[in-house]
Amino acid sequence: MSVIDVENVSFGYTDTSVLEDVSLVVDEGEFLGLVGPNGSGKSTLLRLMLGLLRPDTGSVRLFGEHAREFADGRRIGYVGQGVARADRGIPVTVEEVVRLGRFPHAGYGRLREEDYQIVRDVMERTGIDQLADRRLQALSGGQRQRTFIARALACEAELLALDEPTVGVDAESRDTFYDLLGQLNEDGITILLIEHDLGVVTSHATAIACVDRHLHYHGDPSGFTDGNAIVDAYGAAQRVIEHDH
Amino acid sequence: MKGLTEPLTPLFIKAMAEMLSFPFMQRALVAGLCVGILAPVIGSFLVHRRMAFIGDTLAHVAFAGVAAGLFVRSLLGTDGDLLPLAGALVVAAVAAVAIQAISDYTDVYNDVSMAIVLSGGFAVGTVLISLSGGLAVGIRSYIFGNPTAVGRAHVYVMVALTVLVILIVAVTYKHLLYITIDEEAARVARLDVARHNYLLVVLAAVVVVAAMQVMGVILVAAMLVVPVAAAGQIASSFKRSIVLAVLVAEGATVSGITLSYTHDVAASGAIVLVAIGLYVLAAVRRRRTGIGG
Repeated sequence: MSVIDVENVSFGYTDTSVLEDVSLVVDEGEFLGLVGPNGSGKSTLLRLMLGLLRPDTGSVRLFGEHAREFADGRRIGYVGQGVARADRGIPVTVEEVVRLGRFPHAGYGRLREEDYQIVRDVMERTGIDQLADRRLQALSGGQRQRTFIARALACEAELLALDEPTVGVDAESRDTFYDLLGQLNEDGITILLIEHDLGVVTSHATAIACVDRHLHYHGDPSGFTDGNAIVDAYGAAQRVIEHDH
Repeated sequence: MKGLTEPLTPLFIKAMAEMLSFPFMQRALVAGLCVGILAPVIGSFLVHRRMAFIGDTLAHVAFAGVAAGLFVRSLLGTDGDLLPLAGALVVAAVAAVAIQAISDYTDVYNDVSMAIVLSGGFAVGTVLISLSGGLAVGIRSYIFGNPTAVGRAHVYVMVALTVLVILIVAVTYKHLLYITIDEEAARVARLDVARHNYLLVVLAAVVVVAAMQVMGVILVAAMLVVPVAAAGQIASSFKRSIVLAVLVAEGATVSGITLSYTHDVAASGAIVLVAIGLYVLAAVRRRRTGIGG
């Protein structure tokens, strides 16, 4: 069953189109790495997939419904761009951020003991349980990133969408992060990841989609690294550096 | 220090006791206490979304509503205490919705359009005043603030608004917090971000109008910002930062109003200066103990 179905989508913020005639299906349990050069439209594609933007032409379906009309926020965990960078000084604790993940479940009602237990469990799983009462601002990039991942997990989502979550994160935290994503994917969670490091994403994802206005490649990672899609999208100077982990 | 506070404490209590024997000072204090709750509670969501400037804009626009209310009052020949307040509330709420609609359309809180709305609102107010003449005394307390001029009906309205605003924030707290921390993720989580954004700016308009006669158009925004900024320096969580901001604001309003009574200085100015003093203390404490320490 497909989680996301993008069909002949074109989109532009102005008259100039950012994406043209993109069609792509993300199946349940897939770990899709969405790659492309800077300004290629990959974040825009992700936002279209999540129903945050309306395509100019074509259609996007999310869990079988029109993405813009899809109303069940509990099924999607989202980590936006640059969450690991220094925050805006909001006096918020790690636990307060992770609890946000339970808010779509609670609506206007109070969080129940079950919600608090889930929050504690995901903090433990992401290794931030010792930081629960710390202010987000006082954490390292890697710790902040894990906090937002924990928020997405607290949602108990079926789809995890992450937009360059490892920017500003040290190498060790990034390795741990990818191990965690691998485990989550094995648990059956569909993962949609934008990552600028081609080597990292091709060695972890089960499928790669490469966009640069058009969809240049969609298939398994080995086909991407061996074929011409990288040259098509990035130019001849680009090569993939394999990470040994 | 001990030698200084010993004679000061009975003096302060004596001044408070004397002050509270006057009904107009009682009203001033109750009004000040309401401002001390309302402004930082709503300010906590505005400041951390970098929307602090909206308070200033709404206050200046509300001034046009006050002038319109006073103008209508003079035309009708009544002395309705709440007409300027009602005028301010309507104009500020409409402006709040308009500002939010513009920001939704342009995808950014546009400081240029807000500056135009701010100065335009104040300009309409000044024109209305000059057209109706003889309103200078009535309008003064709205420009510079004068808690002792707050009437009985106004105090009742303020208490009712305080209860109402707190209830609304309590019910929508989770949504407002999520949107404050991460608006885009809140959209993905399918929380109704647009509706809560409108709610927040309208609540800001209500708070600004309620606080206007105590703080004045020029200084009212300070109560939305300064206590929140002080609390943000040292609070260990968002919830605690709201409580701390209310404590800072209450400390500032009570001491500011008391200082205005004992030393015959402008209450709104004294309140803001005390609040800024507390902010400096909080910033120094943070330098010494670290974030949220």
